[in-house]
Parts: sequence; C-alpha cells; structure tokens
Amino acid sequence: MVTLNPKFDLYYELVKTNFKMKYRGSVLGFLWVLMKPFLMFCVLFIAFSGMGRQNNGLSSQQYAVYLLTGLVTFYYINDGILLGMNSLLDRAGVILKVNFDRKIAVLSGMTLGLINLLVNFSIVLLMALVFGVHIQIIPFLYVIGIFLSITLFTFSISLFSSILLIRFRDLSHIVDLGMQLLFYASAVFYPIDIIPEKWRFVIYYNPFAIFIDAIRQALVWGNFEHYKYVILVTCFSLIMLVIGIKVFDKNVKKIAEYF
Amino acid sequence: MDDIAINIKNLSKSFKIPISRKIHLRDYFSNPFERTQYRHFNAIKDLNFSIKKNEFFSVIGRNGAGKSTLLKIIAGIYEPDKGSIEINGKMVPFIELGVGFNTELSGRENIFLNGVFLGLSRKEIGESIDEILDFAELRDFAEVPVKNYSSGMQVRLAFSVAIKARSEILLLDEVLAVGDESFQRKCFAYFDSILGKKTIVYVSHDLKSVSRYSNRVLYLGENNTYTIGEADKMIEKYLNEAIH
Repeated sequence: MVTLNPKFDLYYELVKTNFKMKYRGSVLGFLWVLMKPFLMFCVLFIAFSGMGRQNNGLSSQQYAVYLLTGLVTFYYINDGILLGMNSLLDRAGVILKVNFDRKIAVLSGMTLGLINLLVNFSIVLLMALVFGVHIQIIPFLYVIGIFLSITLFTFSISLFSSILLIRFRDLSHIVDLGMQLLFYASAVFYPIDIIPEKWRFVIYYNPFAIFIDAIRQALVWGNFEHYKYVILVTCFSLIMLVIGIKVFDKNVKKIAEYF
Repeated sequence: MDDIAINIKNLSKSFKIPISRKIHLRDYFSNPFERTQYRHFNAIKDLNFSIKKNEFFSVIGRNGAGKSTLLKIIAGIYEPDKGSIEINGKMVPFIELGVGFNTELSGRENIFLNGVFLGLSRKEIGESIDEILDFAELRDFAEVPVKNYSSGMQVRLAFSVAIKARSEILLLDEVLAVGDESFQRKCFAYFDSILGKKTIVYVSHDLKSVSRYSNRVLYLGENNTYTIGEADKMIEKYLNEAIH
C-alpha cells in the first residue's frame, strides 16, 4: 500500500500527544497559554506605560499593542530555543528503542511554541482592532516573514543545542539564565532609544531585539524597519540550517549512549 | 549474496564506564573541574556473522553479554566503534514492543502513536484499528487509558500493533512469553505463520522458545567470545558456562 507520508504522520501524532499531555488534567487547560503573557503584560503595562509613551509619543492604547507584541514575540523565541534544546532529551525513552528521523523529535517539540504563538498573536490582533491600531496588509505580511525567519533561526540553533545538551547538561541552566537576561536586554517593554548610545551595541548584536523591534514597528506604525538585518539573519540561519542538519545527522547516533 | 539479510563484519562497540564517581556534594565543590576517570568496557568485540534471509536467528547469553547492544546497533540506534553492518531488505528498526506508548492516553490513541513509530501512516492505522483491537482482545477497553490496563493487556496491545509493521526483518528483544495462556498461543501461532517468511533476530532468556523456533543461535559468552550453531547445542553450552 502507498503510504501518504509516514514521516509527517509521525510528526503529527507527536505534536498531538505533546499538546494533550501538556494541558491534560488542568482545569484551565489551554488558557494557560494566554495567562503568562497576559499577566506579564499587566505588570509591565502598569509599571512602564509612562516611560514607553513619553519616548515614542504613543497613546496608551498604542503602547498596549506595542508591549503585548513585544512580549508575544519574545515568548515565541524563548519557547523555540528552550523546547528545541530539550526536544531530544525529553524523548530519550523512545530514541533508545526505535530508530526514526530524530529531526522529527526536534520539530514536533518546537511546534508547541508555534501553537502558543498563533493563539497569543490572535489576541494581539484582536487588541489592535479594539484599540483602533490600524494594521496594514503589506507590513502584516512582513511580520509573517519575520516570524518565519525566527522559526528558521531557532530551529537551526536547536539542531546544535539539542545534541549538545545530551553531553553537556549544564547547557540547560546556562540557556535558562541567558534567556532571562535577554528578556531585559531585548527592549521588550522599553524603546531602544532610552539605552545610552555607548551601550546600544548590545541591542544591535542581539537579533532578538531587532526581530521584536521590526515586528512592532511594522504593526504599530506600518514601517519596514530593519529589513536588511532580517534578510541577513535569514541568510545566516539558512547556512546554519545546512550545517546544522549535517552536524545533527552525524552526531545524533554517537550521543545515543549518553542519554 | 542475495540470500543474506544481515551481514556483520568485525563489529566492535565499547562503552565508557566511570571508575570514580562524584557521589557527595562536597566532591563537586572540592574539585568541580576534576575529570571523571573512565575505563572502556567492550560490549561487543570483533563480531563476524551473517543472517540468512527468512532465518529465525536467536541471540542468547548472560545479562551484560552484549545482546541488546547488538540489537541496537543493527537497528541503527547505536553507532559501532568499528566494523560494518549490511542490511538487505526492509527493516522497521524497533527493538521493543509498545514504543512510544503513553500510559495516560487511551488504547486507541496509543495504537496510533505506536503505529506511526513503526512507520505506518495514520490512514493505514485507521483502516486496521478494528483488526488490531480484535487481535489484542481489547475492543471493550479501547477508550480506557493504558495506565489502567493490566501489564498483560498492555503487552497484548503492543504485540498486536507490532505485527502490523511492514518489515521483512524483525528485531525482537524479549517479546514472547507474554500475556495469558490463550494469548501466548495466539502469539506462537503468529510466529508459526511467519516462520520462513520473515527474517527474525530474537534476543531472549526464554530458552524454550529459542529452541523451538531458531534455525541458528548466536551465543555470546564471557570475555567477548562467541559461538554460532544449532539451537540445542548452544543452549547446552550456555547453561554449562552460566551455571558453573
């Protein structure tokens, strides 16, 4: 019999199981996806709305959209990095019993982050609609392009980090801490302009901050900010993807005994 | 070479075994960067043999003799240090029944989950799910979470999915002798029906089934020695060496 695509079906079942297991038995279930960005949003909005607005001339409604977009984007990057890194280790039991394309484990692990993004981002769009922030079609397509670029970037990093984590478990602590620091260094809740000139390189060398700023500028103002940078990072990710797949396939069997 | 299913040449695999482990917390603080010392443990050394097409080939030996390691290398889960493996024919590389089972999920959901790991498409699983449930005698329990199954029921479910895998070569690590008497008979009937039609590499401590089915047996002995021969002779050798 001709199989439709067993690899895709494996991916599909893994995603379904991940999803079911994550929200199984919890009263609020899938609402938890919204809870984290929403509560963070409330706290940051109350604390920083004054500062955010002064520097950008945003109304408080605009600042709300601006802030929530930043949070949602940051959480997508954060999910991608952490879920991707842990994807192999989380599946250790299966990996030692059956040989299948391990990249499916990485992809299916990261898909949970994508589902979260879709839900969170629809809230952003809803909020923009309610608060009268007009989102134009072309900049919106640009935003989708940036999200694709982020996905490519986090996936190609995960091809390395998921393997490395098996041999070097400290990585999990390092990355946890790193992502927390990056949250404050990525201009999520404040405009880039308030950073003193001599420290601004921290932002320019941080693709996350640029991604976040580009998405926000496109949504709130309809600007095509940082497009050269986004293209550069996308090209870099593509190269990393090609090398990453080679490195991953070559090493994934060698680390089997270290699970 | 057309009648060879698996050809193994000069196969070696060793593992690093830590000698001095850091046990107490203070070991980490007093010398956090001290490297743990390792020795090499040869699980398999210079193994040479080939398995014919449609042969029932068993592997026996004491715990730690390298049986499961060998199976994992054939499946491609471990990479050998040296040597080569050639595989002719379609092989679904699973070595245990019920791979991917999630005990929180229902029997039906687990059939899908397990099935996709065995390379089946969701469509095919959907088409044969009634057959699988009937063979497992679990139709009434299809919607019950597998954690509430008895261990016999779990194995029955797993076995019933596994025989759906389209594989000319089967790798089986301790899978027979499961379930109750009537299900065991069903399993044996299944084995009788595929005997001579599929290549089976069978690792087991159940010497009765080894002796009943095997064309040849590989006995992995002490110090990486190995012998291949007729089932009953190998079992005798194993029993002699293992007990004395």
